[in-house]
Amino acid sequence: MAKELAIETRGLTKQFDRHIAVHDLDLQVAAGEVYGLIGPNGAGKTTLLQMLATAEEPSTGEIYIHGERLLRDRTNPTLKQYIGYLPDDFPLYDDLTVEDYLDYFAGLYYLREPKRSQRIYEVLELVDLTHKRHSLIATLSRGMKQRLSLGRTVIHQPLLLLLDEPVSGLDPIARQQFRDIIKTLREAGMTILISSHVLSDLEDFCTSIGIMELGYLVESTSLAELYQRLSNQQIFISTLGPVNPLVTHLKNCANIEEWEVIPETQQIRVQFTGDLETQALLLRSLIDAGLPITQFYPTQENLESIFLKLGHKQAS
Amino acid sequence: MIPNLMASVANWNPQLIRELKGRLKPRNITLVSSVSLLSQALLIFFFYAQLPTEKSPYGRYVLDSKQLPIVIEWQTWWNDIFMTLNWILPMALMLGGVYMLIQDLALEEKRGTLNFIRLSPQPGRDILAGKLMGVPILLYLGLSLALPLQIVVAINAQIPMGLLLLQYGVFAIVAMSLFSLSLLLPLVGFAAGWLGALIAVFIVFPSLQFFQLIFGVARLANDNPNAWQDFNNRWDLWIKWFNIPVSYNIAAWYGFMSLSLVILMVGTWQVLNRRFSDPATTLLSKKQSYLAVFSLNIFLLGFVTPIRSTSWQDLGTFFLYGLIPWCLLLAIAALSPQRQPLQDWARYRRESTRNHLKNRQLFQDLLWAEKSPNMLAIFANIMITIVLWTPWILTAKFKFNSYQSHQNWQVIFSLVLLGGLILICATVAQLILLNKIIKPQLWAGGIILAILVFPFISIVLMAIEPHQYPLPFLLSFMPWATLESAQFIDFFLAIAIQWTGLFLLNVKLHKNLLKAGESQSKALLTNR
Repeated sequence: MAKELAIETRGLTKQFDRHIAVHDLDLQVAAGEVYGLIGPNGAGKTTLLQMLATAEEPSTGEIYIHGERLLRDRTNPTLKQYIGYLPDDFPLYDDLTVEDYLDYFAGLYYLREPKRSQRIYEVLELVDLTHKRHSLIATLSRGMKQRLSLGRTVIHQPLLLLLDEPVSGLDPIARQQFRDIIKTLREAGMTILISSHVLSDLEDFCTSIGIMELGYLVESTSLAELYQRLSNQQIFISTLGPVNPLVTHLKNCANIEEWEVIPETQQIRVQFTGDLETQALLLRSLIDAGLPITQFYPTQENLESIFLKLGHKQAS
Repeated sequence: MIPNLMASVANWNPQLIRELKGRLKPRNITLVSSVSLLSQALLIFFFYAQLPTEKSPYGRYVLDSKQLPIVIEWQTWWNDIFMTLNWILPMALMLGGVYMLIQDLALEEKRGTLNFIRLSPQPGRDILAGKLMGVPILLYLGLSLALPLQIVVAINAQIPMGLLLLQYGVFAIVAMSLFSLSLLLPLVGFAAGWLGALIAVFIVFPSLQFFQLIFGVARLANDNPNAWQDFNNRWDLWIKWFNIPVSYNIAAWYGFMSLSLVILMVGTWQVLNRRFSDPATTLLSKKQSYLAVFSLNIFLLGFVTPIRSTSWQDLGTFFLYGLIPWCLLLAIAALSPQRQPLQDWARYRRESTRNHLKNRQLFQDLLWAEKSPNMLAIFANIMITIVLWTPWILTAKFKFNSYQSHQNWQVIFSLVLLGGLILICATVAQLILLNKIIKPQLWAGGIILAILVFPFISIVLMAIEPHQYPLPFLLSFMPWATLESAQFIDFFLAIAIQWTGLFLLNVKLHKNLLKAGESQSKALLTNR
């Protein structure tokens, strides 16, 4: 049975003056997926997200959220209840405390007591701001404000979460914290559409990837399929002794396409085409050959190099 | 109990509770309460200082200056305090409220926080109602602390409590209407609270004067049952609305005013809800504009139908030439879509329309749809006005000079000319809004003003007399100036010139719309 679609767009177009920001876009995102939208600045990612979030009206085309059509010139209250949207800038109210801010938005989304207090508590835990619940928003750091914004976005337990460049401008620790929250939300079954122009932000939690360029969706596929199609498996092998005997041995092994000695180390990077079983056989043959192997580390080519292989360039 | 109350309010209107939480801080409450109580003390002290003493046994409050010990006329003293409070309290409420609401909403719009609220399923009217009740909460608090003083003063001044309560009711409705209009201003890009309050002075001040006058008469009516009738007779203020004597007594007057304001408020809230949900849309939908123009005309017609005397007919003529045309010009501002929606309409409309339905669909679009150009809707509004007023014009006895019989047909023709001029303004506005320029609304407003004022200045500079050359007057915004001498041929010529201009402008607009709606590839191929 086909999986339910959380997002479906048909011929979605947005024109600003003479510039077409999003061009005849057909997007399908299945429920429960974490869909990463990549593309250089100005590719139309933000406009697409704004249209999905009902913040911007399409010039033409149709949008369906969980099968319900988003109607133009209407306020779409039911659909708004499904959606949580975090834009790339997130003005907050400095005169409210963290808890009051979440309480305010819980009210706007019709959450009633006692569920309301329970949900606020859960969200504070999720975004790790319980200790700051009585602090004024003005006193929070940027990372905390970003997490509070995310908390506000998920307060009503939306079915679909739209995040626009959520980690840009954050320090590495704050980025990691933010990623962890998104992983938790994914585990809770939320469909997440996340845009970024930095690939490394997306690759460890996305299930599908879409690539946008000049308003077009030029690629839309699951990450597994993308890796299967385009990613090479690599094995890093380190030895205690000189690397030459290792190279000589590898020349006679199957499933090895090429290798490269990493300069000034005793390590070789091997492009490997075999499965897990042949990987184990390779390791056994190296040990049996009496080579002093200290490290045997299989890995996959990262998203960035796959992206470059596809002929796209990151603006960043 | 208070947490329960807060929870109920939060469930009912989360925006209100947000405003209360942001404002009702102990420091603010203490400050406002102190200022309110101190001001009341100062006011009492000021009036106390006016009381006569044995050293200076004179003044307004001495019953008989020759009599000792001095007998003070306390009721006048209390009455003066009451009247002063009756000025200060509503003035502070209305001006302060207008200022605060404009500032607050403009700030939220500027910071972009309103956009998050717009994304929530909460209706715009609930959010704005929360703002209306919550933003001026400290002002409400300060003023309500002054109410006990006013009630005590009213009792001592022997003001009937019923009248006081009635007055509070009407003030509340006036304030709510004013606040509703204030909420609209930031949503159309007006961000200066102080300017809003200044404009409000021109509405509030005469209204309060009027209220004080009515209040004075109502007090007299306590002793003299005919006071109200005397007042109406003396000032020729027998106001009737479709023959209903709405100024029959204070209850009728207040009732009529309140009902009119409530209807205005209902209309304003329709606009507020619409504009809040979608800031890019026109202020009114075409359907709303027809309803608004129809209601306005009926409201105004009511005062002058049936025609009771020449002065009431003059008032009707003023409505026709001096008030309704300006309202129709405002309708242009409320109905004209901006460049982007127009472009979307021109570019993508045809994709959703089948070929054989195109012309019918175009007509329907121009008459009803969002984003479509304004001309047909403005034309429909002008027609509504002319059709509604035609029976009144035909029953009126216009006589602009002593040589001719009644000249009602001139009036109808002059209205057709005024309508044509308004349509020209609408087309020009739409042409300007379709252009890619900075602040197109300002340009459109400025150029329309020039279209209206320029002919008038030329007429004055060239010292053209209306009876010598009626044509320039007929083509201007004041065709009434030449009704006494304009002949049928003048009207015919003026209409021919005006409609030729209108036709040419619409051809230009049609071309511009086609160009705006052409596809990218076509623009590329034709190297534009």
